[in-house]
Amino acid sequence: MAEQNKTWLDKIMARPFAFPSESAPGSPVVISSRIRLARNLNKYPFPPASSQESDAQVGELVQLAIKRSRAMGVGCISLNVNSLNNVERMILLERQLASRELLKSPGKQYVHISRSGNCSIMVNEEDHLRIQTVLPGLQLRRAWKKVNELDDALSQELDIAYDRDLGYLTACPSNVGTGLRASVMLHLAGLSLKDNIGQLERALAKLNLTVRGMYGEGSGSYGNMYQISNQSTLGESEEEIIDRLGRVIDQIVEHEESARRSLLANERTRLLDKVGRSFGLLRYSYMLSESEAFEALSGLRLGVALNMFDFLDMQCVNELFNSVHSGVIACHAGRELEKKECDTLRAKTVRERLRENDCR
Amino acid sequence: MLCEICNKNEATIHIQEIVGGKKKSMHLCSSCAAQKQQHDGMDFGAFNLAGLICKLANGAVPDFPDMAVSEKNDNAEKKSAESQELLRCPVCEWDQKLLQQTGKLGCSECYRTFAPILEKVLKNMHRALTHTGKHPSGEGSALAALHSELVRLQKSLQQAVEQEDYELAAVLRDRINELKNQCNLLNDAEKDRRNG
Repeated sequence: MAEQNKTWLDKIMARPFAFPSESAPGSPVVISSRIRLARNLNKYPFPPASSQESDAQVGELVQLAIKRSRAMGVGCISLNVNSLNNVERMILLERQLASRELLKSPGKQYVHISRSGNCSIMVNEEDHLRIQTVLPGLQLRRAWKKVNELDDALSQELDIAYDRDLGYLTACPSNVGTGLRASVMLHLAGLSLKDNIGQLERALAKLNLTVRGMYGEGSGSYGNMYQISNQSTLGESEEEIIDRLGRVIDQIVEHEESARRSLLANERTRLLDKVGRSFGLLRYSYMLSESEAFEALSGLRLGVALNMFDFLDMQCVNELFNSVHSGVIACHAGRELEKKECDTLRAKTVRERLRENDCR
Repeated sequence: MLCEICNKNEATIHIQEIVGGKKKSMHLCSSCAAQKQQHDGMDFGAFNLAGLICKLANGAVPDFPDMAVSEKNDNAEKKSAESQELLRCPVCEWDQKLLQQTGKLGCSECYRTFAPILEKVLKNMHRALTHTGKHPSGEGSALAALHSELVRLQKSLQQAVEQEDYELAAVLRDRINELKNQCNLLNDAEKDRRNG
């Protein structure tokens, strides 16, 4: 790994994860809040129709705009996706700093990350610009404020594609208007155990909201983590979209908490079995795949939230969630790992951490 | 993504089912989905949580089909493709076929080129058809605002000519020329700024 790259990776690894590492606002059901804006430049073809040459020009214009506007603050990390190795790509994806689509594109893609590690700007993903902020807990309003300031600063420097009637013009008509996607990541272990996720998905579809897995579009539901986001971007203002999502999130959190109470009162054995098996798997396994670890940690997190363990707290479980990502394990090992090797190291990390707590 | 059944058309309907606690995803085109629903009697089910959440979220329930599907494109695209010549964007050369295959547009101008198709698509996707949120600020946006004003006036001019209102057309033509000059000036200033 090049020394220069090592430096930025070290910086990112040292920053707090979006997964709450300290007491974040709201219920422990809420993991994080994310706001992203899709923007394009006038006179340049959108990425689905663009050439590498035009993408490179857009990349330069954005880089210059970031520099001139000082929008991302001092110490902003600017990366050319093409030059990243697999471990680095994994870290960016796991930390929600870049999307799968950006990382797999073979052309001129770039990502700029703010010093705080909360904001990132993806360049030449589906749109020229994807400006986003991820904050721990339920903080949609604050995330919007940050992204809005970034957007204002950049639009002083760039000729943004905008139509008076349709608003911000985006490559996919599903983003046109505000270009805003607000999403909240929730840990829905109770509703999941009660087989209510399908119902929730259908209910949310009726409200023009979508349910996605942990890593966004096309990703599976890892460890009962779900991202709930707005589908419609045109016809409502940014604040209206955010407030509407916020109201629904409050209701879902209530449903999740009531599902947990109901499990505790009416299906105690089933709940204890789920939590106990999860703990056993994490405490005594010698090989753990990423999805297996997430699934078991979800069960453990549910148990901790219901005060079933006196030697474990939420902070510890959240840290475990952060430590089992394949990218994090490979990063600590300092190289790309074979699956078997990674699974062994993951099990070891979790086993040792739980033994420390168990023996205290 | 191609339809899982015919492997020909772009999958525009995405269905997720939870069967025995396991999540199952299907990606289909509209015609295969319609057939599957007819043949298999696919049941998207009634749900009680839905009603509960709908009621709680200010009763704001859009008129959506009673199943867990999201239709990205619209059948209208197909119909208009069959019945008329392919639309093609004069700026980026993106055509109607590419729009149907990818569901994406090629540039800002595409929104005008494909406006007849998009109107129906946007109606299905969004809560309304007019943007009510923020607008860009700064030098670039002045140009963007001028451009959209220019387009609006050109549309009005066309209408005035069609209605043989030549007095209004003359006024609009002068205003359009004035705006074009302003646009050129701003464009030059922008170029100078970027180069210098």
